Amino acid sequence: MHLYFETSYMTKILSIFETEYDLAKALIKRDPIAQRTFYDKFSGKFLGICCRYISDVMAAEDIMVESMMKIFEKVNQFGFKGSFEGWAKRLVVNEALMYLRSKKMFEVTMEDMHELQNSYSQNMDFESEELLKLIQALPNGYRTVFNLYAIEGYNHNEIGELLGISEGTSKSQLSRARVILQDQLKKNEKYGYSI
Amino acid sequence: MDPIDKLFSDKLKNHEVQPSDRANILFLSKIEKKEEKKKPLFWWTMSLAASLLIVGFAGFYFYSSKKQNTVDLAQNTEKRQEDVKLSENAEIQNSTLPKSQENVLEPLKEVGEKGFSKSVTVKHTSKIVEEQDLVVSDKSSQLSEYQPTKEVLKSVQIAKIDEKAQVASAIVPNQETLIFLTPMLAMNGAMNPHQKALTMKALQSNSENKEDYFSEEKSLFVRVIDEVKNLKKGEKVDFNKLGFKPIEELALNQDGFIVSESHQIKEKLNWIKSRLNNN
Repeated sequence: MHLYFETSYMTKILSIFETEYDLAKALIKRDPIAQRTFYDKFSGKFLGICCRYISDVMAAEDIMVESMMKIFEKVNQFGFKGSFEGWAKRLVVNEALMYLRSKKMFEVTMEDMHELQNSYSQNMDFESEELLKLIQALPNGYRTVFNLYAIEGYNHNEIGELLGISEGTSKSQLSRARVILQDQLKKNEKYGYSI
Repeated sequence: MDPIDKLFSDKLKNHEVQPSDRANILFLSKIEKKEEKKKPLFWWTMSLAASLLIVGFAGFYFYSSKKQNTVDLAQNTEKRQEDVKLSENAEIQNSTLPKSQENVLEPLKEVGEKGFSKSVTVKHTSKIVEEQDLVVSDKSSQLSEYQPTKEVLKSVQIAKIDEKAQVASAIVPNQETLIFLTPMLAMNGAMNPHQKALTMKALQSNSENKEDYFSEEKSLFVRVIDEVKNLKKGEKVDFNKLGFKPIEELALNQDGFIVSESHQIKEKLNWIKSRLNNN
């Protein structure tokens, strides 16, 4: 349910911006309708990203709104190359990371890498919200690295540059995150998704 | 790809979380703040531009009106010069002294009731009086009464009015001659030709004709000069002729601002004095 417009009216508005490039051009012109359209279209996705990095929902919402403002400010830097949505999502991730850095929530600990016996559950039918809760339950460092590697698709070198850590640390953090998640998945499977 | 990674990636990559009303209101407030920030700047620039335009138009208007006034003034002065020329030319024909003659004018007769010396001697230099040199006088009848003599004094020069020049040469009276010229003539060119002509008229004209003397045609400048002369003789100044009231009379005006303010101050001072005396 949209806050500002009814669905039919929203459809009309969206039809004005046939492509995301049209929307980007309108945002460059600081069109207020375009800004509200962009918020309605992408606020859910961006909040989903923020919730993966920041466990506190209210803080995640604040970061999402801040990300929107940042996008409106920097939209003129979008070179109209590639996906506008992908460009905007990267900005949101950066905002989330900056928030974590400011709060010093990277609990990155140096741990020796060790092989883990990964026994995966056969039943992988989990709801998205349940999985989100599992990620939010991870320690900050593990959660961040897992998000960047598994979902955003960064490699360990890029993660090291983003977070200011070494590749080895990034790998160990990822490994630990997987172990914890696996355990959690098994437990939930055992108890029938009751988290 | 690791199965765990794949699981979480597939489920959470495009997962959406609906923002709460709090988040929506926060977004709206931030948007509105940005729009409000723009407006003052817009209005500031517009108001600045409008004020500059107004100043520009006002300056253009005043400049053009001033230019018009100077053009009118130039035209008027040209007319006056022409008038003076015409009158002077007419006088020249009647009153130019013959060349190669060194002449001395006999004393002028009484030329005015007030402020003028009764006997005056004006003497020419040894210079030949050329046709261009003008003896500015009122009418030919005046000069025809005088009989020139042969004595010549070099220290006296006749006032000249050049065809082009606005400035008259200084008139240096001889010791034996009494001044018949107004102070303003002695100031060496403070007057324009028109004023000078009028002044000379006033000097040499038959001032028994009071109507001419007090006529409105006489400029304020001339009237003021006459009253100054009267003052020198010890007479009181008649402000009615001049057309304005003196400062003292203005100050005595009971309805005036100056009187009322000074009156109030006096009253207060008296009140303070009375209080002090009582104490």
